[in-house]
Amino acid sequence: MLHWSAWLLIVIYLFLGLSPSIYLKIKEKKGDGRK
Amino acid sequence: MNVYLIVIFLFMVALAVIGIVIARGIRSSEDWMVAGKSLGWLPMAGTYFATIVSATSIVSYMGYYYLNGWAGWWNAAGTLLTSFLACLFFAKKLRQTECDTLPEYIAKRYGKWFSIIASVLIVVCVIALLTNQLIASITILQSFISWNKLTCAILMMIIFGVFTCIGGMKSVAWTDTLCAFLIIIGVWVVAIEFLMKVGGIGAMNAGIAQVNPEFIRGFTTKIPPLTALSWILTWGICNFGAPQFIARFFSAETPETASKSQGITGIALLVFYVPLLLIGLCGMLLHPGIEKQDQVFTTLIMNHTSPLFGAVMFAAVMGAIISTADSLLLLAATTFTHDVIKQAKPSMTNAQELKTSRITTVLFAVLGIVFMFFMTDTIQGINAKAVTLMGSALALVVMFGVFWKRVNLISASITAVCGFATALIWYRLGTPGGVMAALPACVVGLIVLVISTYLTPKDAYRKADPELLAKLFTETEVKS
Repeated sequence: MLHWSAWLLIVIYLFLGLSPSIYLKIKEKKGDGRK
Repeated sequence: MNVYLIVIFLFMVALAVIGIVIARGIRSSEDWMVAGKSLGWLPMAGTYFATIVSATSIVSYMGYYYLNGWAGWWNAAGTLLTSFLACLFFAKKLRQTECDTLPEYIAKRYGKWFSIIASVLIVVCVIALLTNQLIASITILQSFISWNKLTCAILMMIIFGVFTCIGGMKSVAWTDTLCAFLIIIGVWVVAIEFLMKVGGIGAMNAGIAQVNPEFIRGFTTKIPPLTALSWILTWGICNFGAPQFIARFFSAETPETASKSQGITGIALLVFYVPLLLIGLCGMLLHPGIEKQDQVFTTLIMNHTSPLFGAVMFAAVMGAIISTADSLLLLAATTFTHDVIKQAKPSMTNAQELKTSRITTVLFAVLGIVFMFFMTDTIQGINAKAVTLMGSALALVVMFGVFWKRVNLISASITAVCGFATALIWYRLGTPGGVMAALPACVVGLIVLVISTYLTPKDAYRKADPELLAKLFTETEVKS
């Protein structure tokens, strides 16, 4: 139902909102692994 | 008795009690300004969220979604971009500087005179933002009580002032966190209620497409891709020149906490803007025909929610307003005291600085009421202009200053002047093509910054504070 451009907007929101935490979590796990 | 008034009153009492309890630990001006650099990720994320989710977001953005459909949502994407960039790059670096305020960082990185001019710009824009919160609170108050504008303004300013004077940053941070939770609960309660009324998300989209087929598109005639991009830059980049956000990073316990809190804020913003959009879109179907952007929120709440839900929502917004307004008052007072007066009179003691901060808080509160009678734009418009003007002058020099050591006083000054002038000219031209001033200002600023930095002597950056350079760059980088 939604136009593709509205989906683009949703994807951008999800990327901007979620990716920093995911990145920090992965970085934290890698750091723990090295220890 | 008026249920709206009771819920808001109880909420304010709760906020005041928390503020007073926390304020008992305030002993120095550093405690007051940056909470003694002791904030963990929860109050850090809470205070940042509650400050960035100002009345503008709730009262004005909701109206923007109501009037523009899905495409209106571009207006908040930049807010998420700020947290994205801060989390990955800037929050940690800025916290590493060990500064207390944005002008202090600017003074150490680019020099005292640059900082004083920046401080004056900051104080003026921050008072305009404070007035904006005041206008939003009056819009809400007048929807359920019949007091006149001045009475409402004085009452709200007293509340803002009391909250700011009692606690400083630590108190603000914890009351902000409480507000952040209430805001998120409030918008979800109303969004779910509205969605149930219109028959779910599918029915909502079908309904708004019937109102206008453009409303289910990401780009419309009124919001083409360039307008969307300028919305992203208005907040995404220009927020880095807005000290009410940058000051949050300085209060973090560690540089890592500053970064982590921004990751959490990104999620919180997502959780907040989804229901806000849903309320605006459902509102189109539930109550068509509202013409004024800033009236959409109060009209929808008063007419389409049960009084108790409505009261929770109003309390949430009042919480957002108080938390943003007390942060802005705190900021205007600390900037003026710490970065203007103390620069002129370095012999000022810690106790004198604290006392002066409290006096200027009262003075700026009065000035905020005076400004109110001269502002005619929408709440969203005033906010965007103030942040764009600060950001067009300061954002790029703040951002590049922590990563590119070659940026120096001369290139930063030229960039600030050109960025600010571009934004001003763009506003004077009436924002051609619906493109907001942040886009041309950022493009011009970036080009000028790169060219002027390469044209100035390679070692011109050495005039910056050596300790600050050592904190930001490795030894080899500083010496090279």
